[in-house]
This record gives sequence, C-alpha cells and structure tokens, in this order.
Amino acid sequence: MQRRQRVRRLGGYKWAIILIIAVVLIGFDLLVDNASIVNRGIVVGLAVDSSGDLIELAAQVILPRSGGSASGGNDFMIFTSSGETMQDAVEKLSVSMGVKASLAHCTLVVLGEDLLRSKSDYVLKFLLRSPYFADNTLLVAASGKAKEVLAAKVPINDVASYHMQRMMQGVQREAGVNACVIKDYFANYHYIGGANFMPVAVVENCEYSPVGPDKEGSEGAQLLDLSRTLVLTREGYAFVLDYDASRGLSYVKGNLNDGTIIFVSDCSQERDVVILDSKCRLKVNSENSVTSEIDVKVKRNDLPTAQDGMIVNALSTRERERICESIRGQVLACFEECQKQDIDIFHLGEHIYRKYGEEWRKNQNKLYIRNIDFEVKVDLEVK
Amino acid sequence: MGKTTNVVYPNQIALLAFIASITFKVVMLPQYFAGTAGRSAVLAMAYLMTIEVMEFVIIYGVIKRTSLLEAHIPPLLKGVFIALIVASSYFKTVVLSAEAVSYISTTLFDNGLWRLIVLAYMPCLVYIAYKGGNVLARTAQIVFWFIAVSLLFNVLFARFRGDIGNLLPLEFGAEVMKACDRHLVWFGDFTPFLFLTVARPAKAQKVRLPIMIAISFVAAVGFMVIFTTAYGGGGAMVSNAFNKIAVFNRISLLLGTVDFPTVCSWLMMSVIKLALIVYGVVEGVTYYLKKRFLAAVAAGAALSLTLFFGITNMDVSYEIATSPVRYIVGAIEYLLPPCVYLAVRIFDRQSVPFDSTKVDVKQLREEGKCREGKG
Repeated sequence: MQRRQRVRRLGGYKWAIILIIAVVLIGFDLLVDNASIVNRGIVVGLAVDSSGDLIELAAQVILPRSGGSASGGNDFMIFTSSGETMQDAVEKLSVSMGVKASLAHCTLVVLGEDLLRSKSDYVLKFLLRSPYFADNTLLVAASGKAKEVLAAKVPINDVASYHMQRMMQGVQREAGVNACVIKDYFANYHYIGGANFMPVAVVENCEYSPVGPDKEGSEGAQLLDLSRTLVLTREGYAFVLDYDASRGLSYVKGNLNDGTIIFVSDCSQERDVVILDSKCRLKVNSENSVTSEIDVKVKRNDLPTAQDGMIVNALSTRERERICESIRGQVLACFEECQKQDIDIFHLGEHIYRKYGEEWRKNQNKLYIRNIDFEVKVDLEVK
Repeated sequence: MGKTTNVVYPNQIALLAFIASITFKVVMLPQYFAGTAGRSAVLAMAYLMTIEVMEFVIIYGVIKRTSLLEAHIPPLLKGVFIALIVASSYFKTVVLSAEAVSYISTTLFDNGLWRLIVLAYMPCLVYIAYKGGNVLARTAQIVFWFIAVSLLFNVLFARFRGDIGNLLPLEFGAEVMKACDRHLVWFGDFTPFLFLTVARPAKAQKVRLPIMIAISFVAAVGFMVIFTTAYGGGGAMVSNAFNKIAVFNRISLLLGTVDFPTVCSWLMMSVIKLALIVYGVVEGVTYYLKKRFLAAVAAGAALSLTLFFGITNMDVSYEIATSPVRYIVGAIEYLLPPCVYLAVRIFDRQSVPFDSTKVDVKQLREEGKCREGKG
C-alpha cells in the first residue's frame, strides 16, 4: 500500500513536467524570430552580381497593397544589398528592405556574367544548401549585370522575374529555351565531364509601350530573350551557344511541346511547322559511339487546303527530309561547338559509363569527348 | 516474472522496430552516403540494413524468452552488458538528437535556437523513457497510423521526377565499404530492446513482426533509391532528405517549402526513436541506482548538457559520429546481442516466456510489478 501511495504521489510530477514543457514551448515561441507576414518582404526573383570581392544582391519584392485593391495585383520593388559572402549579403538585404527578406517564394535566380566567371561555384552551392531556396529554383545567366535583367520593364505585368519563369517553366516548353533548376544543375555537375547549361537572358528594347491603368507616360517596354544558352563546366563559365546550337541542345536535353521549325518548301518559299512534342533518347552503341534518337511530332502552321480531294499543301517527302536535316544540323552544331572546347554537353560520357562502368572510365581522361562519335537520327511525324 | 512496464506484445515491438530502424536513415544519412559511396549508396544501405535485420533476429531470440534485466545470468556479466548498452545508447542519443534538433530547426523554425529545441525535446524523451517500455510501445502504436497515412499519401501523390540511370553502374566497390565503415552509428539501434520482454498475446495479432521488418528494409533501401534517382551525385549536398523528397501537400511557407504531414510524422518517429535509446540509458542506469526517477533526471540532465555545450552544430555531431568511437559503438551494437543470447542460453534455464493469458494482474499490482492499466 505504501508503495502504491508513493507511486501516486510521484504521479503528481507528471503534471509538473507537462507544465514545464508547456512553459518551455510558450517561451520558445516568444523567443524565436517569428516575424509575421507584414514584417516580411516576399522575394520573387533574385539577381546576384559580383563587384570586386563583394557579392551584390538585387531582390524583386512584392509589396502587397493594403486591404486589397480594386484594380488587383501588387506593386513590386527592387532592393539591393552587398556583402562579402552570400549569407552576409542575404542578411543585409533584410536591413535594406526594413523587413525580413523571405526567400521561400524566390523561384528565379539571375546570375551576372562577372559572378559566373569568378564565384559561380560558391554561389550555386550556397543556393543548394540553403534551406530557403527550393530545388526547382530556376537559374538564368545574365548577359552583363544580373540586376539589369531583373529591372527590365517587360510588356506583360512589368515583373521580369515572373515573365522569365513563365518562359521557362510554363505549360509550354519551347525549343531553344534550355531551362535549368538547381537540382538539375547539381545532377549535371556530378555527371562524367560535369558540363552544365542555363539560358542567357538578354534585355532588348522594343517599340511597344505598355497600356492600361498607371501606364501612361511610362517608358517603352523591353524584351527578354532567352534563346541562347550558356555552357558551364565545373570550373565555371565556358562560352555561350548561338541560337541554332541552343535549339540543338533543347532537342536532346528537353522534352519540348512548343516552338517552330522553319524550312524551305519545294516552291523555294520559307514555311514553318509547329512542334507538338519532341523527345530524345541517347543510345550507346559502343565505348566510343552514341546515337541520339529524336522523335518529333509536328503540325503544319498553315491550314490544309484540298483540291480535287487532294491536300495541296501537305508536306512532301523532300520537305520532311529538310525538317529532319534542320533538326539534325542544329543538334550537331551544338555537339561540335562544345566538342571543340572539350565539353561533353550531352553527357555522352555519363551514358557510356552507365553501360560500361569503371572499365571504361579508368581508360579515359578529360579529353574523352574528342574520341566519341555522335550520330543523330530524327524521326518526324506530321499530325 | 518481469515487471510489466517492460513487457510488450509482438505487434508493438514490430512497430517499434520499424520506427527505430527507419527514422534516422532518411534524414541526413542519404546525404552522407551519397557523399562517400556516390551512386552505389543504395548498396551500402542494403548491406548495413541486412546486418541490422540479422541483429534484430538475435535480439528477438533473447527477448521472446526473457529480458536482460530479468535473465538469470551472473550479476557481473549482466552488469557489464548493461553498462555497454548504456554507453552505446548515450552516444547514439547525443549524435541522433543533434540531427533531430537540426531538422526541427531547419524545417519548422526560422533559425530556431538549438538549445531551446533541446529544452523542449529532452523532457518529452526522458518522460517516455521514465514511464517504461510498454508506455513507449503503446505510444509507438498510437502514432504509427499517423505516420503510415502520411507516408501513404506521399506514395499516392508522388510526382516523381528523376533519372533511374543515376543508379548505374551499380558496383560493390571499396567506396561502399568505406561508406558502411564511416556511418556505423546510424545502424544497429536495437540493443535497448534487450531490456524488454515479448509477451505471448492472448489472441492472434494483425501486425506481423517479419512483415514489418521486411517493410523496414524495403523502405530504407527504397528511399535511398528514390533519393539517388532524384538528385544523382548532387545528393551529397542535399540535407534533410526526407523533407526534400516528400511531395504531399507541399507548400511554400514564409520560411521555406515544407511538407507538414511529412515533417510532423517524422517528428513523431524521432520522438519514439530517441525515447527508445534514452530508455536504454534510463533503464540501464536504474539497474545500478535502483531509483528510476533519479536515473531519468540524471540521464536527461547529462544528455541536455552534452547537447548544450558539446554539440554546437551538425558538423561537430558528424565528426563525433565518424570518430574512432564508432568502432566501439558498432562492436557493442553488433557483438553484444550474440553474447547476451549465448549467456542466456548457457546460464538461464529457469525463465519462461511471458504469457499474458496466464497473468494475474491483481497479484502483479499488489507486488508492485504492474504500475499501469486497469486490470
């Protein structure tokens, strides 16, 4: 009985412990830096540049209109900061904004050319390791300063970061735009050869002026062109692929469902077809031979017309061959341009390694791409 | 007859074993494995999981008959066995608690203070450990279904985008063994089970132990496969893998992308898992001090102080986990169960399995052997 009473008395400790835990949890909540939404600036796009030893950040931030606005939408502003390290610069960004910089919604990072030539490895590793950035954050290289890309006045919505996200991650995946997210960047980085790519954003002035409320008197809009691609190696910035080679890269590395292919018709006129779907498979034939098998579905851009029951503007066999040749030429242009620089942009070495294992790798050096024969087979289907 | 606070049913031990096995193999370990073994990390996981399952089989061979505490073996030998379990469990608690605290800090709080999380976490662990094995098992039984539903949703709503080719070529090379060698501490966490006894249930139970052990194996190896296919070599830089891979209800919060069902279910798993190894410390110390409450408070205070002042960040934790001490811990985890098994087989011929159909609860309560339950 005494023992049972003692046990019952000890049971009182249970409530003491529960009380202590409750107090700790409440105190914990008060002590943690728990900024509410009004004290946070939601960053939707981040530009990273380097200036000497410093890292410069420019953040495109949403400023919610208080109480909701009749016209809808929000205002956007760009805040800047600089620091010796990325962490330092991010912390100073909050100081510059006057509220806590919230990076969870930042799904686009633009990297300046100077930074890519000097500190890209450090910055990209920071982005992957940081808990604030999602794996699917898009990476874009700027042709020049990154903050100028972010500040571009695009015709739709005025917000460059949203505009670029739609171009790369929207429903339509267009030929020539080689989108790259953080996760893919590091998967490529660890492949044999370690070649990487990301679109280059070029800001161009256009004659179009935005119309609508609050737009009168505003300057002319700018266009953002992502049709060229930056090639990187583990050492950093390598070179920029031209328009054709960028398209060639997108045929091999991406699953496309948008874009046009221009070809010369039998009447020596320039015509085009629309890409409905494009997929590629790399087939390893031997230790130094790989074939790229590209399946493309297209449809004619002009309406089919019939004469005496026959479609008169159907694609002839020769026209089909020209389309296939156009795709093949762009893919080979990309391969050859990179091969000259000893860069394995299609990760052919990785595919050969997967098939032949260490036996293949131990006999290779950094210049293995010189010895690889690359073929392209295009299978065209017209809808 | 053992104290009923340490008697558990086979289905409870099955759930406990699942949680104990899987919890810390899906957070930081995939990153560590990917960093050491690269694309062969899956083989390292499969290899060590096989050994862990074998260890569990041996431990089950002991506890289905008696617990180490109640076994009739020479006191000196028993004292040494218990001391070794306490030492190993203490080390593991320190290393794994640091990982749990880091996970909570990263996924739930915006740079939440490490020490405050320890303050909130440790009393909970010590309290469950203090209450004993069957409270721990019952807690596991209650939370298991939350965990299972959360994991099921993750499977059902998975939008997996990965490259299965990232697993190739699958070669069992020196890197695999190096990864196994470095990360011994994350495996073989079943020694605290030696303080429990498995009761023969009055009626057949739905959860089958062999099935749960098989599920644990498949879950750990399967998770590593998914992680490798999703991240490839980049996995070496991806921490908190469980949170990254989770897909159900993923939302972008102010502090980062968080999958709440996954985070919460993992938190429950971590509490059970850590409470199990803290239980190993508390039960072992109680054997020497005889005062359970004192043992629990002392263990909790010592663990909190170690985490407060000894482990300041995850780098320190990893350094300790991969120090030469891991060989001692590994030796305890893998060699102690066969030794206990042999000792019980040789010296203990009196113990009989606990049969719940033949137990007089009233008598047990009078003898102070049954502290919980309504009879």
